[in-house]
Amino acid sequence: MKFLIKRVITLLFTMFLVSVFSFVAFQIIPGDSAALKLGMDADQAAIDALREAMGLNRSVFARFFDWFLSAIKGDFGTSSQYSMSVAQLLSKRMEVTAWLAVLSIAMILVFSLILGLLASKKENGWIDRLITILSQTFMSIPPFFMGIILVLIFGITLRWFKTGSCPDPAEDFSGFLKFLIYPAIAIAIPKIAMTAKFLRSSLLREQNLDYVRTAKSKGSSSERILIHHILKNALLPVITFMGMVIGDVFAGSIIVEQVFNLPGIGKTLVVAISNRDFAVVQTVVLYIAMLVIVINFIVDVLYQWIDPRIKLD
Amino acid sequence: MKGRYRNFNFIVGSCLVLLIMIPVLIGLFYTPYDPGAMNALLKNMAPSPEHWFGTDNFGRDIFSRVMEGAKLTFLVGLMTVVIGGSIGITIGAITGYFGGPVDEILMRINDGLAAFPSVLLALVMVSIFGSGKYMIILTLGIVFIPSFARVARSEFIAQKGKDYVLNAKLMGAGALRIMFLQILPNTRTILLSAMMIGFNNAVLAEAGLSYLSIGAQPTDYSLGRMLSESQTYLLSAPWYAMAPGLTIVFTVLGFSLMGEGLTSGDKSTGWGHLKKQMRMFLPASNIERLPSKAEQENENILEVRDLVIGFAGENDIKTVVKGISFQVKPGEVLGIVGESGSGKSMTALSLMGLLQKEGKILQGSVRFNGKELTGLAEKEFRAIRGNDIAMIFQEPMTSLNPLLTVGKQVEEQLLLHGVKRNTKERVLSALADAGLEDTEKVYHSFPHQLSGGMRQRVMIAMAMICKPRLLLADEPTTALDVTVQARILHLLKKMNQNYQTSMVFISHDLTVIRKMCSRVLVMYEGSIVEQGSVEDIFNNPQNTYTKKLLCAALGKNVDATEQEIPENEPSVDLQQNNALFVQDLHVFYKNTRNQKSKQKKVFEAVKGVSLQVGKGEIVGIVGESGCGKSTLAKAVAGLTKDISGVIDTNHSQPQMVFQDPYGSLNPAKRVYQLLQEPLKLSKMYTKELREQQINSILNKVGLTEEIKMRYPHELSGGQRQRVAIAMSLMLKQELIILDEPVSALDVTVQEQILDLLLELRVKENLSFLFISHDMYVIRRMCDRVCVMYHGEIVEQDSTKALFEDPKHPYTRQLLDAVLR
Repeated sequence: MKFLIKRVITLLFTMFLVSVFSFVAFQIIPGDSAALKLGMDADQAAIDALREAMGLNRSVFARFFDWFLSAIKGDFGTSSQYSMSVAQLLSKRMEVTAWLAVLSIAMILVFSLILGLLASKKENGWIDRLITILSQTFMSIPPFFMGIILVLIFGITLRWFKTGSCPDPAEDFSGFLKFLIYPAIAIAIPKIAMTAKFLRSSLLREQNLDYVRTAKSKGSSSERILIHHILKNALLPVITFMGMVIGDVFAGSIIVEQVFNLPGIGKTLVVAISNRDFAVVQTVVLYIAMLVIVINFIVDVLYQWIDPRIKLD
Repeated sequence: MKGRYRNFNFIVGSCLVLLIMIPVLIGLFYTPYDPGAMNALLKNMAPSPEHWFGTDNFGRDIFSRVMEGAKLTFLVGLMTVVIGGSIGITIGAITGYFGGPVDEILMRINDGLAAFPSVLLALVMVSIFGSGKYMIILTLGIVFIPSFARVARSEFIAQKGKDYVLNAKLMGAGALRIMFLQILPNTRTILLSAMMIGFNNAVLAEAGLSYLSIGAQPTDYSLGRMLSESQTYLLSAPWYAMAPGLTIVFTVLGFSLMGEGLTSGDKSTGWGHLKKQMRMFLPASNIERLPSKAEQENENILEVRDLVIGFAGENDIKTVVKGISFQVKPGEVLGIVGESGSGKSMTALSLMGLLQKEGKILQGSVRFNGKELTGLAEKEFRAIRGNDIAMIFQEPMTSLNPLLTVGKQVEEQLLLHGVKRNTKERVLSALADAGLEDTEKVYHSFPHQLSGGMRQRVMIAMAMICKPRLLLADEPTTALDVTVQARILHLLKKMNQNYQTSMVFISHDLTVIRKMCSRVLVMYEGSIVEQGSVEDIFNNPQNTYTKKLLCAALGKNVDATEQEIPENEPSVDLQQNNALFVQDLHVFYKNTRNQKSKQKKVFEAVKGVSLQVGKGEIVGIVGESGCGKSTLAKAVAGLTKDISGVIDTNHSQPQMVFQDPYGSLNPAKRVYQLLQEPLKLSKMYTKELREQQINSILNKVGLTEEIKMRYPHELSGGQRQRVAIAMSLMLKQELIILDEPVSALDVTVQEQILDLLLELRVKENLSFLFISHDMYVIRRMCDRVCVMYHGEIVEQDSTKALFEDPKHPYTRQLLDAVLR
């Protein structure tokens, strides 16, 4: 319990630090945002008035405090390109990205576990070599190129899905999920390859440890040893690794959403950047960073929960 | 096999990289077509001899454009490694090496930055500072600084605690010199592979950003931009997407294979390629028939005949056990004694069918209770393992599964052999039987919550719970402190008597063997050189190796120990005649922060110690692990900061010889580099003088000049320790601290090193502070002895007085555990 409180405090501190980053980053944008907002030929008086209205004349600390408080309340400002509140703009798009991430993470978990176990069954056997070569290759394919290949094969050639038109989840949820499978594959494949490889080496490392020899000397079968002894130990480092992978899944979705023309927050972010819609950019960045932090927090807690050695400290 | 597999990755990787790099290099001077020249007539042409990769929607030659685009890809990757790598590694090295508040702050910032995936961070920076080719290069360089810093930091933290770094400090090397000349060479493979990974990540990030039209501008040539343009024409010109896409894939694959080849660990060797050579060994079934089961009954529980065990090496089979035969009678305790590498552990593992996959029984027969075990089907063997034959191992620390409770693990033994009822009661009684108290609590404990001795008791309870006929004990007490050792031996003896369990007891320690066994085998290099009753072997050894072993373990001559003890009276002269004067020394540890929990503890490891070492004297410090003797040694050498009290080393900088020469010699340096390092630091030597000095010292420690060009891993254990001693002599300091200098060595080598040290003391006028847990070694070496217990010196006296008339109860306990 004491540990949990400590972790929560660290979590809150990191969250605060990240909000400071996100705020400060958009304070150093070259140019005067009031002048930008009014356009090229606004006169100085109007700019000054707007500066006053936007609170730009106050100290950085005061402005951060305002921004921080309203962000906690869920008010992230107004989007300049859509002229609507950022929170409202993003809420529906987040749903798309969230489902995309859930699908990819599920794929990563299932397939990397299967492949890792298969490969470690016989070190340097032909299955192991094949999986190693394939994972090495697939690791090197950037998700957006994978996406283009999938569009070419399943969208254009086989016509299993209609390219570029994602069904609205509110109207056709199963169609929406079916469509999401392809971008999810594009994101998941390189990560499956990485995780399987990591799991394989973790399994092989554990196999040579003394406690496995003890289990053998008790008369356990190798299947029993794998399930009862090795797997849990071998999964420990994989849990931490998955924390990092999940962060990458969100980063990957930014680009893959563009490939499949998905209305998620990644695509919104890219459009906002081109249109210099900083309120939206700032919110999306903050949102993804917070997600990564929270996921890493969960991973950390999970790790301690499984590993009894850490609780004592 | 190992080398081949490793190189295979590296070679394929470099080939791929070259395949991409050559066109890029050519592209600096020549492209087949102008990459920007449009031609409406050639729109979306398929690949042809004129246009290898076809043309795009403007009729531009794709091959020429890929050449230009890949140039940017390589530039981005390279600049990221240069900018990010140089700044990141410097930051990581400094923060990792020095630690402290700066490190703390940077790590916090790093934690925060780690929350932003690198592509996202790059996106933010580009959106703030603007895009374009050069902007992207700069941005990615900055974005990847933290990842380089993280790798370098953790490497430097791992390396800075190693003995070779401490050694360098003792020789007077400064921080910069240690960081860049000692540590950096040992991190090069990891840092190189981090650079390759960084290169790849930068390439992928640039392609991604340019694909989003946020990176490179329309006028720049970039593979990512090409991919995004190609998407519109996927239907009519699919090759357009393939050319830039595959170029990225091959580049990334090439570098990741190269990184893989650099770092990949050992690949095990297989038996496949050795089939031919194996024919020279008879298959197990062709062995002459042994006496029938009836003849055997009540005779021997175990019969081993002509056992040959081999390992598959690189190209040949290395036999580690060369045709040994022995028997074990019911209820008998048979000892097997020998040095590490003598094949004794292999023998035990082969009896259980537990040889690692590289090891095999090549010949011979193992009969247990009348049943042949060689060639037995795995399933049948499993029924025997743990039920009829059980085994306990050397390391109780690692031999239990860290994630399961002790109770569950002992219970598994029962479940595996068909006992389903009252398992918990039986486990509790087995734990009690193994001398554990509060069994209910132990049952629910995890291994890390128990002490080493308790863990070994759990192992014994587990091994004995099915009442096996035969127990194999492989160095069961070696990892334990002497006082715990005695209790565990007592327990095993009790188990043997109560349950009539036969035992094969393996040890390198003759005193332990003498206490436990009735009969003993002496093994040397895979063969049994002598066997007989314990009395015969100890009182009347025949074989020269056995004699040597006895000499080494029990002092020169078992009967003449009286004369062996040096007669020097303690010299309690004035302070200036001492090589070392320590008064009321306290050493504190500010607990190096646990990775997870952030609490700090102050722990007093040495509590008010006073001692002197006279000139030319050898003073021993003896005690169990954790008593503070190594901490004391480091404090005296000046390697610890948090101390109070007086340490006067008489204006000299004590040198140190560590337990494990493998750790105290920098693995990245050759012997002559190691030896000249202290001379270079003192700056008084010319090249010729250095050469002379090195040769003369090598000569003094009994090494020949030809080993100068070797690396530490190319030397034997004894040679390595000689090099370590040579290093400590280089600066001609009068006090040398020896921290368990022979504990990691085999007995016969131990003997030679101890002789060398005694010789050097006289010839070189040295004084030694000699730290050991081994009473024999202490008695052989020291003039005076200090006994340490829980951070305090509980007794100090001349060696003779201490061994003949120990005053403190703890000293008596130590002596009892070993000598009687």
